[in-house]
Amino acid sequence: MSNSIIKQQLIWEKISLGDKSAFLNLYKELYYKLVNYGIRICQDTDLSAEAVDDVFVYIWNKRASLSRVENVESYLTTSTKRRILRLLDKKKKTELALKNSFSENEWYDAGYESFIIQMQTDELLKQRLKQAMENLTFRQKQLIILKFFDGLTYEDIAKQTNQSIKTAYNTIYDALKVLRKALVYN
Amino acid sequence: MSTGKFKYVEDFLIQNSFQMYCARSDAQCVKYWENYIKSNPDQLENIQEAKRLYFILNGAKKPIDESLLNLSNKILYKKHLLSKFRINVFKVAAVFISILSIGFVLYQARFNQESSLKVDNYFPETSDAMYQAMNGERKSVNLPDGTKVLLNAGSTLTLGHDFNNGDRNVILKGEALFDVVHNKTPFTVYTKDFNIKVLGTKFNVKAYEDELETVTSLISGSIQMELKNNTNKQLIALNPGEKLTIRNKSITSTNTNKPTITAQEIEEIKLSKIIKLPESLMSETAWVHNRIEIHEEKFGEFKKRLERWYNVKIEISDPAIQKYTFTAIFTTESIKEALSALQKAKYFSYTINDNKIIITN
Repeated sequence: MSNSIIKQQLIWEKISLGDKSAFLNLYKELYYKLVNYGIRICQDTDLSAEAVDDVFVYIWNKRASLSRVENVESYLTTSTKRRILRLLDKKKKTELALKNSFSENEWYDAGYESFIIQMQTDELLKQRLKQAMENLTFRQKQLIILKFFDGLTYEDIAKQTNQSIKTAYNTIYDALKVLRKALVYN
Repeated sequence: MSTGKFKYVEDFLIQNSFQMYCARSDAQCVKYWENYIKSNPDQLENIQEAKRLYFILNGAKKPIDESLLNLSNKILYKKHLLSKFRINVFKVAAVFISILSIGFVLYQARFNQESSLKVDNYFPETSDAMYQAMNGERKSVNLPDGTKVLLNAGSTLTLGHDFNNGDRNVILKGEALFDVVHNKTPFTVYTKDFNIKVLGTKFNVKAYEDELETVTSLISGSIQMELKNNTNKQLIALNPGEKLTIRNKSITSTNTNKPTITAQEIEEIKLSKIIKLPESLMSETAWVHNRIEIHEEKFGEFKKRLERWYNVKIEISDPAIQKYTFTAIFTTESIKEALSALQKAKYFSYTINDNKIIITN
């Protein structure tokens, strides 16, 4: 069993005893991971964040009767997914979600791109963002996702993509320059 | 750190510490960059652009501290709901009190028709939950009852003490678009000039303390407004597509930092129709869609809006320029581009010093 799994089991224990700061720390630690996971399912930041909050509120309210969980993170991931499906059910959009639930590769290929474009309310900005994203190489896009969507450190990105930190950094810098030139006037 | 190091937007954005400042996930980074902005105001524009780009790329996820505050509010209010007994007692009490007060109002109305009813500038007891959008930014807020609020620049929204636990009271200073979730508990927005009571609907409220006009625009549903005129109590119902504008004679001095707002003399109350357009094209909610719209307004009147939108200070010393009338729509333009567009319509010149813009002949 890895260290973080045991660490989270201990936090789980504390929560069941009513330790609120342990609870908020767990939320802080896993928030973006869970929200990102949710966005990949439903392509909707607000809905995903709402689902994650619902899961945590539920846990806090039921803290006294929490049962032991082997892997806290995967338990929360599954709960988030269920919650999202429930929320989507309410909105009768389940079918859309199934269509949109991207595999890892599809996410890098087109999922993320169409997601951030669709998030914009300004038509002009949508157009520009689309063009700018089209000008990025697959590698640049992949690294932008890892850095800004998943929030990884340069070290982790380098490790995950088998390149030096410097190369990863430079690739992202060049990608940002392309994006900035397309999206900013001055 | 030399300023030469950060020349372009991407020079900020590439920094780990800058990313953590945007996500507000590390207190030290937040502090560092806030200080940096203070001591390098000339780079504010680039920093704001970098921040904007950050949130485009991260998918508009909220900073972690905001999410934490939201969650804390949610578990706080849910906890209240668990003590059902207490609520029932309150419900019974509330029914009694409202019956009593209806009786009292009827009595007053019947027997004291001459003497007008006094409405105090009553604000509900507030809680710690306060949401704030600084100048130059906008913020979307999910309230514990599911209501969505979009706060415009330079606005604050404070939740009432017992929000979602018997009542749904909020206090607004500034401008916001409300999309209120329908439930049995009325949702009340308190502003300096009127209170708005709704069950579930979508509407925009503009009530900046330093502006003469207070405006409510109703998009769907129905709302009831109670004016806070100091002499008599007036109830006005709005239908969808209507807006109510209240124009005050004078602004209460903004120099004295008075926590309470004194009753103002209302000069004019105007009920008008919103021009029927899809919501995304309406001028009343243009700000929601990244547009700032000016319709035949005097420079002196929309100056405040530009200040909040671009987070700048604008000084117009010449009264003649204050009266210049413009019609314009800005979207992604910078303040410089906006000003030079206005210059094409009427001649004036300006100088920019840090965040201060001085407009002269």
